[in-house]
Amino acid sequence: MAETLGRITPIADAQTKAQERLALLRAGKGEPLTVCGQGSLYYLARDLTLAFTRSTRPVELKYEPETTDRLATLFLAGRHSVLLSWGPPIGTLGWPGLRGDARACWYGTEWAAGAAGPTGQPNPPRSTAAPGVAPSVAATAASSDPNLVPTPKPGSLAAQWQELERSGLKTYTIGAHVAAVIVNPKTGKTALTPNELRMILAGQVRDWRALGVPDGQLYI
Amino acid sequence: MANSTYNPIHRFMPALMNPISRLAYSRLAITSAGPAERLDEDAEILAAISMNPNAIGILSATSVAGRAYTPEDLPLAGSTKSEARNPKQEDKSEPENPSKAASGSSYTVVALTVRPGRPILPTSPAVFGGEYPLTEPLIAYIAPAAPPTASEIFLNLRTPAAQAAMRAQGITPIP
Repeated sequence: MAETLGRITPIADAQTKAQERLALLRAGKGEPLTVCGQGSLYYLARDLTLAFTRSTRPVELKYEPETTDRLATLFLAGRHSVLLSWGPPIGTLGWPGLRGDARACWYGTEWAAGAAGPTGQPNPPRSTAAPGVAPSVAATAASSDPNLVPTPKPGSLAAQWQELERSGLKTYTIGAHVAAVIVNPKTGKTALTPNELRMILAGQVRDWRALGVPDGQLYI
Repeated sequence: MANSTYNPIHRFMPALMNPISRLAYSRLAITSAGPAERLDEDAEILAAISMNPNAIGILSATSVAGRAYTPEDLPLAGSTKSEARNPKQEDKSEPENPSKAASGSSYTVVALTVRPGRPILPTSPAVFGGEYPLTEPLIAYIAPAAPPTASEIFLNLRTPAAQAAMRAQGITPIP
């Protein structure tokens, strides 16, 4: 109706401009943006830059995939504007004390310290098994004592990374993988402790009755 | 006929190489997994758990209720038959609907009790405040010499298109 009257609706206008920006991008006239990260994050970077192109201005993504343990080296070479990473990449270098990574390392600090393991022993620190996070990063991040932050060797990758932080590197958590645990309501369970969940998934507990679910459930 | 002596736990998990599987095992420090049925799609896990009264499973929070996940309105209980309904309305109208449970079409999101008496659901404050343990942060590092476009793209993620792009990859965007 609006078109027949010679008017352009805001939605149609936005769609037209989006198509124009995409055409510019296809013509190679997008602003180049170099990003590196794990290979699995390519699709996210691609979709985000496409969304930005549609809404704002054309950006041509140049993505370089790399394995987690080489990401810090690649980024420190200075060819990339953005590094996308699951967890802090510097942790894999064996130097845990970078404050810039602290924000990414709050995850699970209480988890590691709070609960006892299946054998009654304290849980191993969560970060021992977390990719990209050195074992003591969580403890360092949780501490307010700056003396706990070790000094990296001069010239090492960790020292270069620290220098990069001093010169204005910005670090942001932009999202997360979140694993949700769900059960059938007939179990009556609404909460589990970490140890219960661990024992369930490890196969150490195979009967709901061991977790306090009464008799009488029926598996069909 | 009810089995009064054995209530076997039936586990449903994503594929071994799925990031959610790896995340759960790493955070729980599990080196050898127990018996579990591996399903390719989160929708299959939801359906399997809804139909099996002894089932437990792990899947991406973005797939809970089979819709776009916003941590603020994560349903504590849901139904695979009512994906199109507003979960807030559902929670208010029928939080413990026995008929729904009897029909085997429901699931419950389980809270994790990291501290005694304090169960934690994967809500936005719990996830990004560091309380909910089964998370893996996605971090963007912006180089000091990066053009302004880099910050515009990767730090302004509140647009519907950007949020949808993240959820499509199974990533919960920061609110």
